Amino acid sequence: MSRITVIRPVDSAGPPATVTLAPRRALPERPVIGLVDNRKPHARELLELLAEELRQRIGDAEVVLVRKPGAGHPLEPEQASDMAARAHMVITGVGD
Amino acid sequence: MTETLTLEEADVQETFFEHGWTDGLPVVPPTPGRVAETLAAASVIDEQVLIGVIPARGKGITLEQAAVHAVMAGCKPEYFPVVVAAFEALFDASFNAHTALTSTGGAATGIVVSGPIAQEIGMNARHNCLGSGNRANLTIGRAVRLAAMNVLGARSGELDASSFGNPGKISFCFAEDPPPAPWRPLHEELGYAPGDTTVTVMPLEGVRQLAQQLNGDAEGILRTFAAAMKSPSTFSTGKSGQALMILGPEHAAFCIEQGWTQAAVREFLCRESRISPEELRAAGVLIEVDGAHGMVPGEDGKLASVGSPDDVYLVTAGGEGAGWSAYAPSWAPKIHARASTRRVRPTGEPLPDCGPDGCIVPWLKESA
Repeated sequence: MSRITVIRPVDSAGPPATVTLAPRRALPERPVIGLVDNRKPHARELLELLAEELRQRIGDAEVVLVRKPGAGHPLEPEQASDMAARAHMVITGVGD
Repeated sequence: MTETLTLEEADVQETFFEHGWTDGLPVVPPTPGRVAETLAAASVIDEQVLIGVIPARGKGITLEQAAVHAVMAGCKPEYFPVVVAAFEALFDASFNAHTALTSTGGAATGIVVSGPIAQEIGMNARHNCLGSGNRANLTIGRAVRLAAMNVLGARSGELDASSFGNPGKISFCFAEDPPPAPWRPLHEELGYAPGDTTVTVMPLEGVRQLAQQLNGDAEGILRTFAAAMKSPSTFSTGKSGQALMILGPEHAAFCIEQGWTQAAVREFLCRESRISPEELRAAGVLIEVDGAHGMVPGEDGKLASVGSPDDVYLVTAGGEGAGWSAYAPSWAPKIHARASTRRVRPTGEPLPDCGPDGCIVPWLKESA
């Protein structure tokens, strides 16, 4: 049997560590709920229904909606920064 | 950092299959010697230089990783400059590899090689150029996709969410057959020099064969093709996509003999592939309201299937027969991704003289 040396086609370190969840905090009296419309069909409508449901559960809440430039593009950095600064909770990740 | 494995030679294929490092077909073992030969063919000085990165993923491909996958795909070393140019084009922001490699729509990474190097390395531009039988066509396209799987995570179970994919996701690469004068090859139409070779990458749906075998009138032929370009079931129809239109020799000859310029063909196909909201509704397609694709009719009351005449990538290829051409639409409207082109740097070409202040050259621009 002959042996052969090959270059590994992938990094043996594997995928990066799973991102840890942000620490959960109690919501203020009037929380800001961020919604990220990823521009998939009906994403906006679904998110607004969710926001309404949350308003009923949480009480008085402000809803902030941002729209991605397109379904195939991430949020602009300034959109993400603005949302991180303003919102106490962000809902995103709506699929087709 | 290069990592190696030492295996029993008889176990190499199964090891690669078990690790999920192949596209489902056997690969050529990427030995250090083969990879070094491949890198040398592109006059690589530092194999750890990144060809490009996808910022949203924080992932990129080094020249060495590209060479490893070129070897695995079965490329001869002389194909590697074309592979590198294909990666350079893929990493252009306009191509949006983050999405184009992994969308549910299952885009193939279409690769068109235009210029003398295509012929020099033996690519096929004639009969069966989109099919089997030519090593360069198949392996160049395969190398790009293999590296996208292994290095960029574009595989099912990771980031590739293709509902179906399409066979072109294994390899979709061919050479342009230079058209008869006065038409010019794609690279010249895109502004490159006659002696240059370019690689254009496009995120594409599957290929449609276009039949027009009885009509010798160029306008009639093009009208048939425009009808294919506005098929309501194509995602980008009415939403400003792009198109790869490959004219077969008979159809190109009819156009040239009857005085059509390439610009006139592109203009005609763009205009005649426009579609009205009524035609879409009649086919059951709902018109997006306040959607991302701007489905607002123009002054003619119609919606664009390709955004502009320049979004029709018109090339000549294929073999003589009864009268066939081929067409592939962009997998999505061009707000999501667009075709991208890079010049191939021939083997041994010296680096440009940038003067005392230096310069950014395309194949090094993303290096750390």
